[in-house]
Amino acid sequence: MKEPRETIVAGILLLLVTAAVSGGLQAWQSGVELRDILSVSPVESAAFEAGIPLLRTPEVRQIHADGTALFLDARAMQEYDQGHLPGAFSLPFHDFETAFPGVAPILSPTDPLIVYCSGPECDDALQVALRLRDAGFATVQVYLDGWEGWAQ
Amino acid sequence: MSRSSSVPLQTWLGWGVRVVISVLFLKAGWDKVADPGAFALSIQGYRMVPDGVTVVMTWVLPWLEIWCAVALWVTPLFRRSAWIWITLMLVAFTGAKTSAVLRGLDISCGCTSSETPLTWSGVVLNLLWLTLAVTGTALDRRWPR
Repeated sequence: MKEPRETIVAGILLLLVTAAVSGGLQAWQSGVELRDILSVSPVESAAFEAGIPLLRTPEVRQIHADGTALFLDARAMQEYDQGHLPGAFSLPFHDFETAFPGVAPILSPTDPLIVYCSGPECDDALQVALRLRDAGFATVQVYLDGWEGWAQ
Repeated sequence: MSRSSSVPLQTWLGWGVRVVISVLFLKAGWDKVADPGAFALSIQGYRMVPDGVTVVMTWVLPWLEIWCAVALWVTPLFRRSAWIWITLMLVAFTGAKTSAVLRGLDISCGCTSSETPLTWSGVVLNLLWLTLAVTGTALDRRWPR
C-alpha cells in the first residue's frame, strides 16, 4: 500500500528535525567554536601544518627597520616592479626555477629569510618558503599580510 | 520468467543496495561527527556558502547522513523519507564536487576522514552512489509489504 504524500513529508521533516537536534546537542556538548576555526585562512592553516612561522605587519616593520632579515617577494615580476618592500629581492613562485639561481648567491643558509606575496589569501609566499626550506635554508618565515599590509 | 520467481532477485538486489548505501552514509556521517572542525574547513574549501551556513551544515549534515542510514532499516515510512534525503544529498554533493573541479579548486573531498584530493574520479564515484540511491528508491517502491 502506498503511503500518502503527507506521511512521507512528515517522515522527511522528522529526519531533519532529528538530525538538527542531534547536531545541536553535539555542538552544545563539544564546545567547539567553529567560527574560530573558519576564521583562520587556508594559508594560515597550511603554514601551521607545515611548521612555517607567520609574521604580521607590526613585527615585520620592526624587523625591517632593524635589518635582521632578508626579504623575498614571491609575486610576479610585474607586481614587484610596481612596488615592493624596500630592499626586498624578487623570487616569484611561478618562476622559481628560473629566478632562484639569480638570488641564491646572496642567500646564506643561516640568514633569516622572510617571504611575502600580495596578502593573507595568497599562498605563493608559503610555497616559496617551503621550497627554500627544502633547499636547506633553516630560518624561513612568511609575512602573512604581504604587500597589502605593508602598503597600508 | 514468472513475476513470482523474479521477486527474490529484486529483494536481494534491494537489500544489497540498502547495505551499501547505509554503510556508506554511516561511515561518512560518523567521520564528520568525529571531527567537526575538519568537516567545517572542507565545506569552506568549496567556497559555495557563507560561514554561517557552513556552521549549520557542519552540525546537522553528518547526523542527517547517520539517521538516514539507520532509517533505511526501520519502517517503510522512514525508508521512503530516507531514500529521498539520501538522493537529495547525493545530488547536492555531486553538484558541489563538479562545481569545485570545474573551478579548479585544490581541495579535499570532505566526504570521509581521508584527505582525498577532489578530482573528476570523485565526481564519477558520486554519480555511482547516486545511481545506487535511485536504484534503491525504485526497488523500495516495488517491494511487496
